[in-house]
Amino acid sequence: VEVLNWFLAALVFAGALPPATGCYQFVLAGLHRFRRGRRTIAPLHPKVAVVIPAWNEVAVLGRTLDHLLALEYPEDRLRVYVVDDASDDGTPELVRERAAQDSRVVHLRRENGGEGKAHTINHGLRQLYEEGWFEAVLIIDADVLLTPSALRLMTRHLADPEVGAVTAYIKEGSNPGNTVTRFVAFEYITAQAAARRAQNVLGVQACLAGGSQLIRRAALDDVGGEIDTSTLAEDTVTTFKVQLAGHRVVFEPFAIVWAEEPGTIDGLWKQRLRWGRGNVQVTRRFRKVWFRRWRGGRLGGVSFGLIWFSVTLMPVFMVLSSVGLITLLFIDRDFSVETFQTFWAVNLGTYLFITLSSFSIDPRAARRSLLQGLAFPGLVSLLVIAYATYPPLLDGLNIEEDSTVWWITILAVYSWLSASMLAAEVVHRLSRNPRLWWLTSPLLYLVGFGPLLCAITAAAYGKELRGAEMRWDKTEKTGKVEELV
Amino acid sequence: VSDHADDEARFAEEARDQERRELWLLARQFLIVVAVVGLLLLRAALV
Repeated sequence: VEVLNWFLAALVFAGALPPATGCYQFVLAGLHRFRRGRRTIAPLHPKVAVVIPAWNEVAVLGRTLDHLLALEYPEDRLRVYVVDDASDDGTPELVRERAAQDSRVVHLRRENGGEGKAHTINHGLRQLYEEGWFEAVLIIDADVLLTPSALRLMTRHLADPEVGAVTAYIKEGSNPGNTVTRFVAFEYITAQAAARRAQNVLGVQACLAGGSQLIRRAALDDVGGEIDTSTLAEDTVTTFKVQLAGHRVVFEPFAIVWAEEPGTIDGLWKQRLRWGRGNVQVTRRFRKVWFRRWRGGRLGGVSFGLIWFSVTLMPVFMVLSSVGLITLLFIDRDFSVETFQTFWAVNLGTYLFITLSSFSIDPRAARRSLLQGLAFPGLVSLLVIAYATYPPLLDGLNIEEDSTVWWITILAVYSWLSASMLAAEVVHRLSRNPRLWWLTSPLLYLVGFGPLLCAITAAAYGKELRGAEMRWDKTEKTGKVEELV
Repeated sequence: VSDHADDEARFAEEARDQERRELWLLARQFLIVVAVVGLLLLRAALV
């Protein structure tokens, strides 16, 4: 029985692995300064061809071009290629007008579009190779705003011949924002400013941000001169291939790029489902790399594997944790209470460390999304943490042990890690109901943004297992993004 | 990749400023670790 108890306790603590790995990344992020000191960076202005895949982007593309043409970068070393994927909303006219005003802008047109972003990018890359002018390519989304120094801060890393690609710090810049965009703004501090700094320290990057990725020509040559079209995560596949070809990929935290992220739960669900499915596809495609340092180099390192799988397997860890806790409750109630309290004490520690560290890494973004940062795991989870940390909290309710109410309460509390994902799915469905959509914002605070992302990852498993059709659902953009300083 | 002249002084100052910011980040991370571990130890002592 004792062995079984400890096995179940181990299952429970599997649920603490993702936040613990998050803490590990924040510790590494703190050491970023020492990593920077060891690498070569120097002023360098290679000939950069910017490739912008665009399908019906008239609402946002004009400002993107304005920001590109105002970059602190030598004019004769920058060209902007807008690859218009058979747009019919005025995008071609807009680009032609800009091309007439500034010779650095080039309009490329695909008459038969609709194949997706990667095919559109490849159309642009073929043109670049025909011209032969470029020394590096910057692939960006049609809606992003590069800050004036962003490109030159990225290109300085190419002074190191080992560096094959550089990614920028994408920040959520919807103005005015809403609950969803502010949750994303906070999430990006952890997923980008912290996680990518940590990956710099480990010497390996999981993903060149699709919104802004600078690739050296030699590195692009080594991956076949084109972007992968067989998965929904073309940016991650490029990142892996570039690194497996022997190049380094680095993150430049001071190169800021503003982006507009989905402002509705449904929009976010579609975008993240695509990312989640892409991650499952990448996990399978590079299955011979994981935890095999001799084959995958730094991609095969233990630390990187832990970071990757703590994100992609998060729903599995959550379910295992709940199953372990509830089984323990029926086998050994006292031990289950001890395990429950210790588990949530660990969660309290990771929550405090990750939240405070996020505020420390990007105080400006954190100020804007303070409430969302505090409520990221959900108010219900915070109540569970409070109860686990201080059990007398529920004494005032006078719930008699072994009564029906006691059982319902204890089962709800013990299963919350898994139940929160179902609750998030309910919030998603409510958000699509035209009469109940107003409930979604308060419910999102209650359930939490973390559980919502976890639920989307679980949904991505389902889609991949069913072999659902791969569709590129375009994220709707309104052009409300600003440089939020 | 071709090289190009740049404002060396500005680049050096910018790089130093970024180094300083990264060092402050490390200092804050250290303080946060101490605070959180202290809080958890306090909780363990009290419960």
